Amino acid sequence: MSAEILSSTPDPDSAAGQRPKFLSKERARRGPYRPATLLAGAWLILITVAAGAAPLLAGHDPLTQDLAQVQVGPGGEHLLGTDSLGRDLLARLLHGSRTTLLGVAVGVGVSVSIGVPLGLYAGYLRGRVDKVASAVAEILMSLPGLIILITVLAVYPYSMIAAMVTFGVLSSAALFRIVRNVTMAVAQDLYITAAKLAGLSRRQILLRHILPRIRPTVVAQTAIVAALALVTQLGLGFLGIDTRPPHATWGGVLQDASTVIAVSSWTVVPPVVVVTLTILAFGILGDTTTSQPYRLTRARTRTGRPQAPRTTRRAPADQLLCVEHLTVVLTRGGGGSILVDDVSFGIGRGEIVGLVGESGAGKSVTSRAILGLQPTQAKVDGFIDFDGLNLLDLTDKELHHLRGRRIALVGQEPMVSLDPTIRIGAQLAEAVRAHQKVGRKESHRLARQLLTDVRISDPSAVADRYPHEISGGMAQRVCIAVALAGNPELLIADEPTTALDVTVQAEILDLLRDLQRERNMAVLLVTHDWGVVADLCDRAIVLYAGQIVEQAATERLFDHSCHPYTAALRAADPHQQQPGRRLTTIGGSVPPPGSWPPGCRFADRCVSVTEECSNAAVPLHLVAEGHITRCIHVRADDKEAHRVP
Amino acid sequence: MSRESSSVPVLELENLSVTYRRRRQAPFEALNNVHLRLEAGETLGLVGESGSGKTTMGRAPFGLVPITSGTVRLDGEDVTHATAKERTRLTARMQMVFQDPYGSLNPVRTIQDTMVEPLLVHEPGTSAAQRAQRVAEALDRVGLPRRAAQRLPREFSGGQRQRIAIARALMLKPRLLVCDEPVSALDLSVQAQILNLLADLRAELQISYLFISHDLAVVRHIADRVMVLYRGHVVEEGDAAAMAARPGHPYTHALLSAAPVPDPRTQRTRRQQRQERLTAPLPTTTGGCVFAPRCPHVIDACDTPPRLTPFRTGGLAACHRMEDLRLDPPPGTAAADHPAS
Repeated sequence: MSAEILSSTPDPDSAAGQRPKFLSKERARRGPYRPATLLAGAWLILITVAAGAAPLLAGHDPLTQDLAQVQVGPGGEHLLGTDSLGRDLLARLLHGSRTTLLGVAVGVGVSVSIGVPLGLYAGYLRGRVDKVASAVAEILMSLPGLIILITVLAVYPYSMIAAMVTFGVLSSAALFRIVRNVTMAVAQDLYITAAKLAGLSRRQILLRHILPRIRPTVVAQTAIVAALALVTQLGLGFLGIDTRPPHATWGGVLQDASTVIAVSSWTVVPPVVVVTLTILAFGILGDTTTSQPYRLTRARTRTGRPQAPRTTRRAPADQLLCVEHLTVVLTRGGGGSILVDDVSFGIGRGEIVGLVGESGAGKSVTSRAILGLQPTQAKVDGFIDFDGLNLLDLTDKELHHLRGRRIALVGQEPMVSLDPTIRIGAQLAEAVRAHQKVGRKESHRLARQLLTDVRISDPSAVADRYPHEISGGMAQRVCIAVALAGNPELLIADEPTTALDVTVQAEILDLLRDLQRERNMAVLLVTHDWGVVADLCDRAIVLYAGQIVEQAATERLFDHSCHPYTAALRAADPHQQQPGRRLTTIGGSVPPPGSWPPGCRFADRCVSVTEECSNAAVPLHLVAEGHITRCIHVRADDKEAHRVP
Repeated sequence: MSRESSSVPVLELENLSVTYRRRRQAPFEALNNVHLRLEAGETLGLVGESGSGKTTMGRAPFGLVPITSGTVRLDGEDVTHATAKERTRLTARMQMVFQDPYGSLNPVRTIQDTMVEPLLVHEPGTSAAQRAQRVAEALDRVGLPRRAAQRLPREFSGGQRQRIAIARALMLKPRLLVCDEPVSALDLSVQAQILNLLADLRAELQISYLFISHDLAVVRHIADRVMVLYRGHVVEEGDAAAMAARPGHPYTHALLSAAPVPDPRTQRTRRQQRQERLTAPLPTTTGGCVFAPRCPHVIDACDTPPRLTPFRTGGLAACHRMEDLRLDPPPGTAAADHPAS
């Protein structure tokens, strides 16, 4: 491999710099080793060992009656007291747990060994296997379980094994259904296709890819089956048909205690405590693996607002939005990583401003902070003035009122933003009603008008369709229409054309420009594509590692890129490079939050780097009217500014 | 042009048609009678918008699509109706890199676990140490540190994951690598890195690429030859540079004009020219040229389907007016080293 590729390779260590710390924290909080899990596991081990060693531990024979000492309290000769026939309660519980726990094991074993493999095969193969297995599962689920168990016990009197095998078969239906459904979902994933193309057999794909992926669900469901098995046994014990008297089970002990509860309430306590703790333990162990964060995407929700009181300041009159010293710090895991560092910029009414940078530069975090949408457990500081309102001082309710109405968002993936179960027209009408006080009929009329506004030629036909029936470009138009429903003054467009075809991208860019002109709407456009900036933006802001590194009017920026990063980023764009030659790239990668160097953050990737670059933080400074940059090698109106060849 | 070459092509699609049958909907014809010939060591770019059939074409060799007629040949061997067992054997000779680097790696398995899979299937005799060595070499090849093997996909950026996906596809040194939009999900700055990597690997391993993209500008950097698809039909085919200098089909021209160029003034001119040509889409005609409903140059003759015929630049185009139209490339289209015509 060439040296250039090697040097341009980001180091996974640094890319993951934050993650291991965060992960270990995550693991400690909700992973397999949190205290509740340990206690639950310890309890199950304890009762299993106690059941095995019952004859040694009990001290009394569970069947020996001592009619002189019936229903005595705890302490003394009988540690937990005695039951209505004077038998030692501890001994009966210990011996009883042998039958009961064996029953649970048999029930769970049968249920899992039927439900999981069948669910995997049916969900992955579909077709006839799935049809037959699903039909059988439905029949099993519709059967009255308890009556069948009683019937089985009538045929095999006091055979707890027979009862629990039956229970296992019956409960496997529910397990099958769940495993089948999650398998079907996972089987759609791209890495399954990739595994198929790697030549893996069906069995290998199921065992290596699907089973590990659905393990949390299987574990959680197994825990539920275990708890159900225990409860079912208690029921059978209560009916007195689970085991031949006078042998003990937990259900039997409970049943005996309940008959004399009016005389002595103590007898009922030990079995109830043991049963409750066991079921709780199953629940906790089942929950342990489900809460592990195997998410492909990050969920973004808003949490606490910053506490520090801010002074109210007014932005210049011609500015619609004025962001000053915006800082977003991640508080999760105590790391305190800075995602956005002291970002200040303004947007005038009707102005289109581009926010440019690579992934991880902080462009999305910045744009979402304006909407009051931050990553979970993040602290936002600074000052965001929107037409006289400081957005960071607003309550959730006030922000909610503002969102959609005065500031709207259009995202990258239009299909994800639309509800697949509701027709386009109805979704749009709902958005209209959320922002304007109009009736149902009027809202539908306005919805069709909005579809016309986004240049959909046949609005009535499109309004009647479901999202999956329209193309991606059409869906993005609909998303823009939804954003327009509240007549916003500022539209935040986060990579609105990245997922679209080039021909459709051109149409959406045209539409955004037209809408901006018609409505004098300001647009904050987040993008990594210089072509989109050149096409649409009046002004562009370049972000790198959470900081603004350059800001200028679009033409000025393209003519006089001052910051070496801007120049490098433009040079690395394949669209403007000559075919047939090796493509220019930027060495290295954006340093992740938390590992930013104290000096210039671009220094170790910069071609013009000198020793002074790493000495101290570099401030932004004015190069020319409206043109600022963050590079110590660029002076005001520097004729030697970096230019793209 | 390599079409006349007598050697056995790595991949050959002959009269291939693919139709998806859908529940409660009319069948969708994704590919209509297409031909494709990919020589050893050659890179063919497949360009078109969503629904053009480019992904279907890339998946056809793997038996992942319902072929209604036609033949798929790999190194001269007819694999159109290969059995599951034969397909497993074929995976050693052709591999695929997907668009979505986040979805194509199992999030709960380490890079090593994922990368050894082709070895488990095709070289079951290898020891664990040998397999680890092969993974390390494959990581070297794509410029990732060896310690990456023990990590999970979520610890890597999009560009790094795409390197991993490429490394996995090359574990068995296949003859054919189908790259389905391998850079579309990446930052522009990272796209260049991946394109360079693919070019290096091609030189090192003598692989043939079928490179699928919706972005003609990107395809031109890697492909020797380009095939433009529109609604399941090949509308133009030829040398990448010649096509950019003198597009033969109005759709190719539309693709070239649509991509915004990173220069505000040129882009303004391009935009004006494009908008002048814009026509309201006409109702779809049946039987005629597939592009006619969107074509600004449509004439009566377009009611009959045009055939893919040789064009003056040496390529092929399916347009009745390709000789008289003289479509100039839009301003700002990056010139190649050797401008054609």
